Amino acid sequence: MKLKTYILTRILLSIPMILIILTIVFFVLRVLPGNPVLAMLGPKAPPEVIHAMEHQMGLDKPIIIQYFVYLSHIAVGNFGISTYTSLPVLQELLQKFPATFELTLYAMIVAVFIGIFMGTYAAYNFGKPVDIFARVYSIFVYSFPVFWFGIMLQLIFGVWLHWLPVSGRSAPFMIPDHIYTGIYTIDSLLNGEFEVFIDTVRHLILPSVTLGIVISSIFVRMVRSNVLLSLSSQYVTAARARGATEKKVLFKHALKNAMPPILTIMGLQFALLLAGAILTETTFSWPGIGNYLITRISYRDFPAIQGAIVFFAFFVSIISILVDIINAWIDPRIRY
Amino acid sequence: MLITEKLGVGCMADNVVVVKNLKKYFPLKLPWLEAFLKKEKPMVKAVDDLSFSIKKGEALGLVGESGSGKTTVGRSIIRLIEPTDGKIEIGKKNIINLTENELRKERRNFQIIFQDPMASLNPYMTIGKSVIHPLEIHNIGTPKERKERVLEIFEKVNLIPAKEFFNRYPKQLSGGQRQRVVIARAIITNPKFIVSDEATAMLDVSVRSQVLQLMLEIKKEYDLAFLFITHDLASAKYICENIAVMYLGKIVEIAPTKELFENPHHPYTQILMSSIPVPDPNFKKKKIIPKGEIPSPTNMPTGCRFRTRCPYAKKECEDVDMSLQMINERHFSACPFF
Amino acid sequence: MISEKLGKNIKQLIGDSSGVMFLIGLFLLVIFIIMAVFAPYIAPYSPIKPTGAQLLPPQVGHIMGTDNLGYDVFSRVIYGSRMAFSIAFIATIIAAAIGIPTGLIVGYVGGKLDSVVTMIMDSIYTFPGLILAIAIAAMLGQGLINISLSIAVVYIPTYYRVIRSQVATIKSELYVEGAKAIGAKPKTILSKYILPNVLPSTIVVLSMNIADAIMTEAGLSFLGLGIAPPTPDWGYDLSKGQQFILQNDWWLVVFPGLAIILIVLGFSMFSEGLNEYLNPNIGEKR
Ligand SMILES: Nc1ncnc2c1ncn2[C@@H]1O[C@H](COP(=O)(O)OP(=O)(O)OP(=O)(O)O)[C@@H](O)[C@H]1O
Ligand SMILES: [Mg+2]
Repeated sequence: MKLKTYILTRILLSIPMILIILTIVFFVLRVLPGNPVLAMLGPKAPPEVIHAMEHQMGLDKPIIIQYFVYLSHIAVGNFGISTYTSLPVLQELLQKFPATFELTLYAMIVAVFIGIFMGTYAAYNFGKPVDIFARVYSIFVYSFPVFWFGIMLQLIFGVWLHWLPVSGRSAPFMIPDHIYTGIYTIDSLLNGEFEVFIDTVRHLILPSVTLGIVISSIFVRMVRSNVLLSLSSQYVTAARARGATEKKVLFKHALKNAMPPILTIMGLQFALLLAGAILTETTFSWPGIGNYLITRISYRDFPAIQGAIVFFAFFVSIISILVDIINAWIDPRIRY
Repeated sequence: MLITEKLGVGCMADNVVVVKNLKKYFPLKLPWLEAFLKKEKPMVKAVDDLSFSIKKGEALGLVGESGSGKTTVGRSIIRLIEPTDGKIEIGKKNIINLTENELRKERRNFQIIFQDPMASLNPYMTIGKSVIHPLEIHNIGTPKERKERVLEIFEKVNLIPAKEFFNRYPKQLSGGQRQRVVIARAIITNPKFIVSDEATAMLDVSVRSQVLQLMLEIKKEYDLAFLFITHDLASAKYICENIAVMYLGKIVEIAPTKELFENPHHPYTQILMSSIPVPDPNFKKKKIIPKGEIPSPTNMPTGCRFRTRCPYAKKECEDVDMSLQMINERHFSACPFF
Repeated sequence: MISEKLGKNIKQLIGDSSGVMFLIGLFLLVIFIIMAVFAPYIAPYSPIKPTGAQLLPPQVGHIMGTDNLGYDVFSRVIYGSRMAFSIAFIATIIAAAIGIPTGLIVGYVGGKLDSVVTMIMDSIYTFPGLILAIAIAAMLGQGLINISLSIAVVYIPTYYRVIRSQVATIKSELYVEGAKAIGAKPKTILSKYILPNVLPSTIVVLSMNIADAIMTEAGLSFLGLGIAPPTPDWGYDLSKGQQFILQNDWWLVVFPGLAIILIVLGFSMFSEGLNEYLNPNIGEKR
């Protein structure tokens, strides 16, 4: 199969998946016992008001019609109007998204970085204390609830050592002047605002390290076992025989062979990363979509809740498509 | 068609199994895109227009190389897989027309013994439960009678002491004992017909002859019709009254056992015969080597299917049809030239 | 699944002695079970009655300190195990009760039904579980059953996938064909020939699933979507404790977190050991 054909099929195949998630979200939010109108207005609201509200939200129509209206709205990017801010939900989501993206991006970098270094050194020192440390690390870190770990880091680096801020995305007045991408680390550099950049990084360190470390466990394990495999392969033996230095053997040959599975794992861990992001955002009051979702749940802002979840569904699908395509591009065997 | 009629006609009355024009085609699995684009789906013709009959108390041997379609025949005639086309009668009952429910009830009359006894038994059921289960399914006897019958059958197939064996699990038995359990399960409902699909192929040589002996005994005792599938001509000779030789989904020769061994007609049969070890060194046969590999059943040669490997192949073989020709009253072969 | 990977890790660490791992896991579990069952006898105070002394650091009489309302943290940690177990058990049972039969039937029937149901289950499976649980919990509201239900939905596909893939292989086993040949009905084949063969791995999934459910429950209650206060609950206590860390009241967050970690570790080690014991050959295949 050509790469283009593969990409096309992969995209087509993800449509049913998105549809299914949309359908589940719709039915969860509309059919389950709770009544959104009652939930919003409170149980003591007079019936006329409730009816008017139901009519306004289209809730008096048959459920199947509501369903198709909802799908057609999503298709044209209409995620509804927030009942809390009266702003279009999509606009709010797009405004929050860069914060989530920045957090998950740096968390992923932290995780991969730890994974590669710890995994490689553990494999290279198989059975030695470094290796045992790496294995104990990946066991414990994986059993940490991400929010608890976040709080511990806040306690240590924020409260006890006073090194880093414990919450938020930036100090007051430390927002980049011009927003190009919404990713502050990039925007501040583009603006040449060095102080803002430093402040952004300081705020970013704890959340992204928290999330990154919790996710890193899988990478450590994965890299370790793959490097172990390729260290024992003929390829590496040959490189050694040619007189390559140990460092070169390790990082150039062994690690290179271990790379492709890392990519796959990155894709697979994405769902976990997003779930972790919601918890991390709440822990650190990080103003992303996770935080948005949780806040709006407490305000019973149903269009916003639904919108945020649909947004996550698209995000997950797009990432998994991207990962599959990159994998197929690297390793043509996957296409069949 | 004339020939196939003849195969059954004459002694119709005591035929337990009559199979006519049996076909089983498997659709070939394609990548979904190709499958979507291709109009005509390619088929594996595993069994292609096969007819035979088996009398009460008699065994028909079905021999042939791996992949010739023997298992497919055995499974389709008792509808463990659905035949593509054909007529099947077992004990005067038209099997093809039965609904799922009727077929389930009818199954007490015909049974199958598979090659791998370990795999044929549920690892989580004691062998007593496994053997009693057919009686429960078909509601035969009271629970007490059922258990007695199982113990009786266990003794018959030489699983002694029967009471002790009753509560054992398959993994606690030897290969030969397991196959005896499977045989016990097959005969417990007093069937009229049993398919044995290479039932002794996986057993040790010493055990093999004992199990063959047991099959011969039960065949006599219950007056069973047997379809004895094997690629071992020697054991077919031991058990069977008649033998059919299969090649790529077709019967190429069918004859009484003695006749087939003394006077093999089809070149393929001759090759099979020449490849069995002969105990008597004075009776050395000329060894004929078949050329090449068995062709893929998706891409069958035109005309005679065997011609690509036949040592006597000639131009005309490209357009013969492979219908059976009469050699004598009970001997038929698919090669018109030999 | 978190617990599956954890167990694998631990097994790797202690080598072939999976018996040791099983025992450590069992030991941790027994401690937590004793805590949950005998909470009133172990806990020095009621978890929902203020003791009068607020925000006391750990000391004699309050070995884990007290919180802002004067509740004894140690007592709340003890009682919290009840909530963790109840929700995890109920959620696991609901998920298994739906996922297992669906997997059995769909795996056995196969064909179009299989493609459709599997696509639905896979979609749920790939979607981040916590987010789905949040959505459902947000709609259903607080309460033991509601939270359990929200968590259960997330794990239905786990059971479905494990069972379906096993049934798909087992149904082509000869003994299933043999059962067909003796005239057994599909119902009988499923219950007597297929179910017993998938059960061992199901038991392992069940026990792993409990660890995951505890983790998800902690997450939900941390986000304020769990049990209504003041019922003792580790996740909720953590989120409340977080408000006081700027004053350095570390004991409010350290202890409930350790409880979650230990119970999750316990279940993971226990189920991996169980897996080793029940399915000695499956490990490599997965
Ligand atoms: N379920 C199936 N789907 C597709 N093709 C099949 C199926 N079962 C059998 N075939 C094909 O039908 C042909 C005949 O197979 P069959 O198992 O009946 O041969 P056999 O004579 O029993 O061989 P063996 O001696 O190896 O048991 C083979 O080419 C096989 O690949
Ligand atoms: Mg066969």
